[in-house]
Amino acid sequence: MDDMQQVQILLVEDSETDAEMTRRALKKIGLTNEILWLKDGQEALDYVFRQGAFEHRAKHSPKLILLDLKMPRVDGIEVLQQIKKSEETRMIPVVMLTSSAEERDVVKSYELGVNSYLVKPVEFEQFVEEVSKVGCYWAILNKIPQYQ
Amino acid sequence: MNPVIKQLLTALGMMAAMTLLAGIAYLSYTRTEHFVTSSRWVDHTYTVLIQLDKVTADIKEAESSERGYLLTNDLHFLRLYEQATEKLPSDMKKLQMLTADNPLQQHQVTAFNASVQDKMDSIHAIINMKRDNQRLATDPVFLDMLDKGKQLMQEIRVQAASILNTEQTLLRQRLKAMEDEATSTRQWILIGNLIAACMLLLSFWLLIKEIRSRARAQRHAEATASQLEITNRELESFSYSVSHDLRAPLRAIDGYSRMFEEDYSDKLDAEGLRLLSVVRSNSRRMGQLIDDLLQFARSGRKPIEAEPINMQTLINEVWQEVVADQMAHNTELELQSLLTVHADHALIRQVLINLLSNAVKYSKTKPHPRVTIRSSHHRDMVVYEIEDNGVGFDMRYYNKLFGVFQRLHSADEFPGTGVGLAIVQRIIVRHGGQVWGKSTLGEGSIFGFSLPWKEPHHG
Repeated sequence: MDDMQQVQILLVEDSETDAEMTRRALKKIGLTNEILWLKDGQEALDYVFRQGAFEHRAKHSPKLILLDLKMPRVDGIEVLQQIKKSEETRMIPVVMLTSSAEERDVVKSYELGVNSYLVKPVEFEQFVEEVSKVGCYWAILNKIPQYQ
Repeated sequence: MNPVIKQLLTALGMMAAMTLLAGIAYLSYTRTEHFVTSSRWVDHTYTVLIQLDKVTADIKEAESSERGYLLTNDLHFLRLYEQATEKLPSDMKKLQMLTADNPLQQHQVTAFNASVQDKMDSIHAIINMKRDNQRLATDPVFLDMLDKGKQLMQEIRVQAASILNTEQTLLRQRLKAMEDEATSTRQWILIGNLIAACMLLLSFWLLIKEIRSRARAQRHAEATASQLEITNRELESFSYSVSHDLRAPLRAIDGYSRMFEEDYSDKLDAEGLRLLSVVRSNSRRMGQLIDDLLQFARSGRKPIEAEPINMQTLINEVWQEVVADQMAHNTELELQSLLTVHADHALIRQVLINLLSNAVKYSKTKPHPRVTIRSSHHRDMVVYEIEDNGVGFDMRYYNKLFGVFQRLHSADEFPGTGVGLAIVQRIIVRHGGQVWGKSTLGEGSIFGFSLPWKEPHHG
């Protein structure tokens, strides 16, 4: 990832196949180069809070974080909690993109301040459609504060 | 031991013990009465003896006064004699009355009385003779009279001794009887109490056994309930991981075959594309199976929140959804008197979705598909029936009808996963109701369910 290029979408996803399909869907609406794929919650926290491997990255917040729930090391709920707790990062839109349609996961996410909750459809066409809609809305149409 | 016999034994033991105790109480009461009576008899004997002594004393007093007068000629002795004669009749009368209870004594006392009277007459005659004639002590007639008086006195003594003896014998007999009775009463009370105590102990033992066995049964039930709770929790976490872990690879299969199709369809012939579409349709079917299974698991987990449900409204609402979903707008719906029921709205809605979509699905192939819904009141249950004129099912396989993933038609003929009726059954049974189905193959089927008329108490 080119340091100079601004990351617009942070994709936090442990499944390589889901990540590839998500990127393919986003590519269809022209969002290709601005996507950064991270494999677990810890990497996501490191990136967002500019620590560990991302200690020296440029100070810039993504326009959207696509967050899976079940991940190794640090799970999506934990990442969401950290992001929404911090003054610095709580403005970043976070959309859960997960297999879980469990009511308790949905409730928990909204309690922690998630901006949207999306259940990954099993069917590919549907999956592509939903992910591209979300990407289009949050990363292109949606307006967020610029001062960060 | 047979529980009925055990209960009978307990009751019998208690009853026998109580009867025995009542008997002992009665025995103690009557024996105490006897004892009091016996005591009175003892007193009576002593009274008789005292009275006998009095009479004897009177007669002796009279005789000694007579002697004193004969020796001294002092009139003072005559006064003493007169006092004795005055007392004698009443004392004698008392003695007679006291001995009236015993014939032998009465007889003896009568004889005694006669002797006493004779003696008194003799004393009287001697005193008169002495006073009137002033006869000398040497007079043979006078001496003879004195001698006779002495003999009479002797006789009186013997008779008094006999009365005393008889009375003492009576006393001994009465004391002996009293003693015997007291001993037997004590024995009876002791033995009776011992037996009653044994019976009570037996009943007590049986009761303790019963209580213990009930406590054991309760502990067992509690253990089973908590085991069930654990199983339910395991099932919940199982379905949770199913929803996460099983879906991800499926999505990859579907997604990658689709991506493959998108990127390489120009390099594939028709057969290659067909094979690929089979992969995709099967992955979709698997996704549907997982979704249905999850719904089945959830239908057993969601707590029941009972509220009044307007079935007319709910059925109309569900019908629109089902007909639109299956593109079966030519299916006719007939509603007959739908009763309101108290149940969980969301769950009953699911039941209706499953039953109505089955009715529509299996009658769609008929020229004039028609679904009739009616309800009725049976004792404390409300019964709903959904009738269609569809293809029906073979009653020989009825036992498979409500099983999970059980189907009586092939997926090519009628799509589905075989979970719908299992969900229906689960929801209705949790409400405390029942489900059933009957059908004539080729002519249609009727599915019915019952719900308690009143609000169910548990989830």
